[in-house]
Amino acid sequence: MTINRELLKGSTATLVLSILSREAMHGYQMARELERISAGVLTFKEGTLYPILHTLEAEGLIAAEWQAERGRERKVYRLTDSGQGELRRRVAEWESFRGAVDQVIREVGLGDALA
Amino acid sequence: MTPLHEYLEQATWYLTNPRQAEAIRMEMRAHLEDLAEELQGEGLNADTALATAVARMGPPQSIALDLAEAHHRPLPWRHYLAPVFLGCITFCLWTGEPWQVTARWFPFLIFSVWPDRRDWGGPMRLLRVDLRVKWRWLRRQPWDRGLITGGASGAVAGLIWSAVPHWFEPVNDYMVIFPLSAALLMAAVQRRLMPTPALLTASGAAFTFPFAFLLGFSEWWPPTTDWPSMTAFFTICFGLAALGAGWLTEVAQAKGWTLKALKGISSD
Repeated sequence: MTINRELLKGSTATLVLSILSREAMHGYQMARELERISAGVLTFKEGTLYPILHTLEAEGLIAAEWQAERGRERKVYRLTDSGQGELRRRVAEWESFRGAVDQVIREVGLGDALA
Repeated sequence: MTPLHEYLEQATWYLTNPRQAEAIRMEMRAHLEDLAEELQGEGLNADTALATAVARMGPPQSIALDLAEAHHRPLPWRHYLAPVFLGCITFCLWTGEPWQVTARWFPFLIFSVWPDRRDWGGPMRLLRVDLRVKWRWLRRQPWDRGLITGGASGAVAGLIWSAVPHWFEPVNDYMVIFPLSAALLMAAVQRRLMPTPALLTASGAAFTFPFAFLLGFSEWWPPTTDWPSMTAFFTICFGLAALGAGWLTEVAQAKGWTLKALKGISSD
């Protein structure tokens, strides 16, 4: 199923922070990991990933350092303490939003879609 | 220049810090090369794999704007006043004002063009990039939106005003017509962008009047009313008024002052 881009756009930062909560990664690894975990349903558009990473870095939610790997210099990102706090807040917000949307869908009789 | 290098140059064109731009190009290059290797593993030849990887990255112009927005810091507001002060000096020279009058504008011009320590890449390129990025930010940054629309409103108002016969004595112009026309024009132009038009109108009038009064009656302003002078006059007044309106709008948004709230109407 192709997911509407606008839905993904609002969740990209949360997805980045979530993936980095497991281990430090560079951009390419993040893109592959998201695709793997979501079984191909969610993908980062490569061109939008780096601006988001840099914005999160500027906000202090993630930190980066250069590492050499297989002959290439890569910028590896990790979650900061602020980032962990922000991730908890975003996850709580998402749970609340998702629960409310699910509730509306059930109420109007489309609950089978969620079964 | 290889196609990949050219692509990365285009994708980072709006970054005005050369070292930062180079670091980002290195990061994106590593990503593209990793992706190309993966595609080669799926059977594509090297050139096709790289071209496919670049296509998946997306149009460089779109990336350039996203990166600029992530990294660019707004131009100091004083830089936007530089054309105004340059215009005033030019006008003084053109109308043959005494050198003492012309010279008074130079400290303002120097203040407006004094390079910020972040002015990498040259002032003209920085201004061009800044305007390009600011246009994209137009709906999100009250300060910048105020300066751009306020300054533009002022220039238009000055041109219109100079074409209208003066029906009142100068003292009445400054005290009544200028603030009113400034406020109405700003409200009309920015109404769709600002959440509180009533607040903007009031702030436009409130902030324009003192500047119009001080400039109009001070010895700093050449005592002429033809269109270059009036255009520069209104541009300055509106730009400064827009700064105040932009600040007030930020305060209003932060405090949740909406028209409904001001009228005591519940938003529930």
